[in-house]
Amino acid sequence: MNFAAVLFYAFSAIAIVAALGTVLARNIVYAALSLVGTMVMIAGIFFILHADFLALVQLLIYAGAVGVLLIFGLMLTNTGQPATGPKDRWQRPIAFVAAMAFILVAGYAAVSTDWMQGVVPQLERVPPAVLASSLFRNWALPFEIASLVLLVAMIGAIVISRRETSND
Amino acid sequence: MNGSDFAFLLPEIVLVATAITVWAVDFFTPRDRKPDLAWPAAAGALVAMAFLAISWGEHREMFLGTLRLDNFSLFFRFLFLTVAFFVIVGSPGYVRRKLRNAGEFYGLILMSTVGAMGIVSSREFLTAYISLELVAFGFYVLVSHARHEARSNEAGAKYLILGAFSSGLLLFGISLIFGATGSTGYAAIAAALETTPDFGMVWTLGVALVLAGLGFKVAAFPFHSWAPDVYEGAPLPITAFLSVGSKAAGFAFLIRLFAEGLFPVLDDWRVAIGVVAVLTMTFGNLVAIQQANLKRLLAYSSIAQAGYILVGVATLNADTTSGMLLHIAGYTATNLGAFLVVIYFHNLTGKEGIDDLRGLYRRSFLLTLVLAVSLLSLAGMPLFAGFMTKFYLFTAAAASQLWWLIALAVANSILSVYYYLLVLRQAFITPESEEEEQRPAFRLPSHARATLSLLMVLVLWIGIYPSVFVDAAEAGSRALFGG
Amino acid sequence: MDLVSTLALLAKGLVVLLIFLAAPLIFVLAERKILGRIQSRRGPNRVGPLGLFQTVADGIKLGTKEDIIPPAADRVVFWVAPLFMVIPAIAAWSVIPFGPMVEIGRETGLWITNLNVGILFVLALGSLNTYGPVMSGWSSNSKYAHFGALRSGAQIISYELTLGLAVLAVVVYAGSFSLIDIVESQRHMWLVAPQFLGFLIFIVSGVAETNRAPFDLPEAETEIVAGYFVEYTGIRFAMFFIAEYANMFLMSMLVTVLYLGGWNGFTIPGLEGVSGVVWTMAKALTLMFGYFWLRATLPRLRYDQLMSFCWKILLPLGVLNLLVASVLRMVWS
Repeated sequence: MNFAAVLFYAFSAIAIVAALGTVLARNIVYAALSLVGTMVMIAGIFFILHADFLALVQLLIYAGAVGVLLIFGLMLTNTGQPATGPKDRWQRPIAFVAAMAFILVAGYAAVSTDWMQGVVPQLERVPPAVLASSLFRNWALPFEIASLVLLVAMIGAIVISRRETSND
Repeated sequence: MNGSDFAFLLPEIVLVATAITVWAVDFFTPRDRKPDLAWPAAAGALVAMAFLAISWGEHREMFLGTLRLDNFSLFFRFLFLTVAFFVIVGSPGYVRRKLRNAGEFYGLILMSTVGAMGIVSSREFLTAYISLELVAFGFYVLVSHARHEARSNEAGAKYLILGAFSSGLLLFGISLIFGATGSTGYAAIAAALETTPDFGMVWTLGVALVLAGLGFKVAAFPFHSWAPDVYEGAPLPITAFLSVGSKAAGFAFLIRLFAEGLFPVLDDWRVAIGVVAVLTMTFGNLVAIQQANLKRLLAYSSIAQAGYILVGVATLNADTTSGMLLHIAGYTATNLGAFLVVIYFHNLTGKEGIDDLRGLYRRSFLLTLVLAVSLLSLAGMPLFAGFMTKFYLFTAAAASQLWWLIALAVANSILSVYYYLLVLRQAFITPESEEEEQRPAFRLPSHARATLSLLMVLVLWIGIYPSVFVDAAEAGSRALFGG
Repeated sequence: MDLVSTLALLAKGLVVLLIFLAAPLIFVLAERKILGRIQSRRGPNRVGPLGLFQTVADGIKLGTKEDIIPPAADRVVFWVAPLFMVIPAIAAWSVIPFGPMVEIGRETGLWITNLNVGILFVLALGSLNTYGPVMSGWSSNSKYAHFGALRSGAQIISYELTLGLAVLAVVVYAGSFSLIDIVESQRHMWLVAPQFLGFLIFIVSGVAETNRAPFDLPEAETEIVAGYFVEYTGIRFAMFFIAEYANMFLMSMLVTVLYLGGWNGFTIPGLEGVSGVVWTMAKALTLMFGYFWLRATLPRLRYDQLMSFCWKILLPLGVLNLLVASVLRMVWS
């Protein structure tokens, strides 16, 4: 096992633990911070895979902007009351069984597959210029649609949260 | 890819430009005039339709084959523009009564339409996915647009959470398929399947997750639970838009994916999709019978309709594809008609219960007529679109010899007649109380009369003399299957 | 990687760490002295000759003070928050070039690493800088700290945008994300000339990013005492200080590298390395003086002014600047 593999397993383990923390934490700020931890670890995995640009964008946007906005929102809305558990507890064992079944199937799929069959493994550092020309030429369309998605999200957020000046 | 190819994307460009213009103009429009922004928005949809005519018969691949403009995409793009046009034209009365932020409302409808048009043209997972998100983001906002109504907010929250979850399933499935085949392009996936017929468990899981994700979007049986609440809570024009536009977009995604990417392995999935189809239509019909609210009834009925279309997916070939296209077109016209009746009825009375329809016959002949035509068409009565399209679809499906599927679909179709007729009984037969008889007749605005008549003519046209539509549907199907 | 280059890397890292730790000691003293002069006072003059050991004494005092955790605080987050201040602040230094390639036995650059996405790395760490204030403010469970954290969070996110836009225009000119390439591209002309607007935007955003006057609302002493770190004492309090001054110095270095040509300047033949470092430091220290000067001169903004200035003036200007830069670059090449 080489250095990169050790790092990969370390990052993955922390990412998984943090993801569990996101789901299981009772304190919602802890959940948000765990989420940020997951994001950072995923950025780390991108680094190992020689995707420097992607890693930094992941840090910049998800760990930086998105995470901060989340925590920011929590700070503004936090009522100080502890979170109450879900009401229908009878669903829990079912959910647990379903989740475990999915993990088993997915785990089996991951282990049983010969991943090198379809893909030629290419791990080389792509310079940002090459990435940019691929993004803006070949993938220009999804890129533009993504900008529309963001525009719609922005307008939607304003529509939903805007304070109305007069009432019916 | 060269500059002139952009001419073929003009409809989408026009829609985006219209949406942004409407948002900008909204800023300078006095509040009581804002609902009238529907007219420029609808005009934008019409202009886009005109530009669409340029690409008639053209087959063009753009952006390294991620985008393919052919007759299939043309068919659906035209359909979505029609839907957007009718939804927008049907909205102003409702918007005036119920909604704020009218400009944003119309603009978002156009944006969702752009997304739907992107889905049908993409031959690649990521482009299709991001277009699907554009549709969904528009809908998240549109569904919760009636901010001061708790039901609308609840519907928006439910739709957002389940929509995000289903997108997650879809993405996970896409990533597994990418991992197995090394590509997100449909053509490359099909090629990989030719050389390696079996990728094992990861492939199965990937396809299953993609199907589940898309199942959410079209509200197929185990993934339908969001639909009734969302349909009921959303503003009425959006319910109409959801039940036809969003559904058609999901099916277009499925059809192109299976026809161009997963066709080599389709046989493994036919029975599973067939079972889902039967469960979907049976569940939709059985629950629809018990509904007292017109919106919920139409919601469950549209779940059942998704089941009929899934029959076509389960038996996918060139003929069933044209059958599905035809059925989607007929269903779109029919359901839009039904919903427009509900919208106008709601505008005039503020009610949407089935009981409230009593005496509709006396109060507005046109509303009753269009409602009758639409519901009979949904029920699949001869002379109306529903019969013709279902007949075409089911006969095409029969070639697959999945007899149990066809038999159950036909049985379901007959079962559904019951609850559609219950509604019509209220409108036509159930007597009004004396007090109710004093209620005045409805006065519909002239644009309402025009759109209702137009849709009714469409339904009858497809039902009686569908050759134009059949030709278009077959041209669309040929684009995928050749020949 | 052979032994020598590993050792060289370690040595470089050590030097940068020393600078990181020593900078606050020097800059706090410099700031107090300069502020004193500007306000016609003497500044600190009791400890040591001319008061030179004042900050050392302060440091010892902070190190030996009791480390108090308020009872209502969230202990875990309160405990780790200062680390989140310091770690991004120090990590960013790993891509900052102090001087050109030099010959010390072998070819080596006066930087720790040349990342081909270096400037993005700095920006990404800058965006993580928000967590320190936000976490410390939230965990302190105190009104002042909470307000400070909210202000700081909103301010850093907002000005991060304009900072990024200004940097993008530089990247358009230099054609690279690497800080070393950016400096190399300024061999003939400092980017401050063609990018004067971008330079101004960057300076303003940089001051706001580091929460310094006139944008020091998160710690505004006269309004919310000290903002997000009001509840901190002892060595943890010192960490906030170290991070703040390290970030200021980092920002000055960035301006030097991005706009003022980095190590470029006339050189004494044979001593390119030394003169490069001298040039870089001279430019950065001048900018540091600018920081102190601003603090002494300008009154604090009101919070709504701060936000609307960023979103309504700086952001459109930044977009315009990027657009013009891109068009010019396209026309020239």
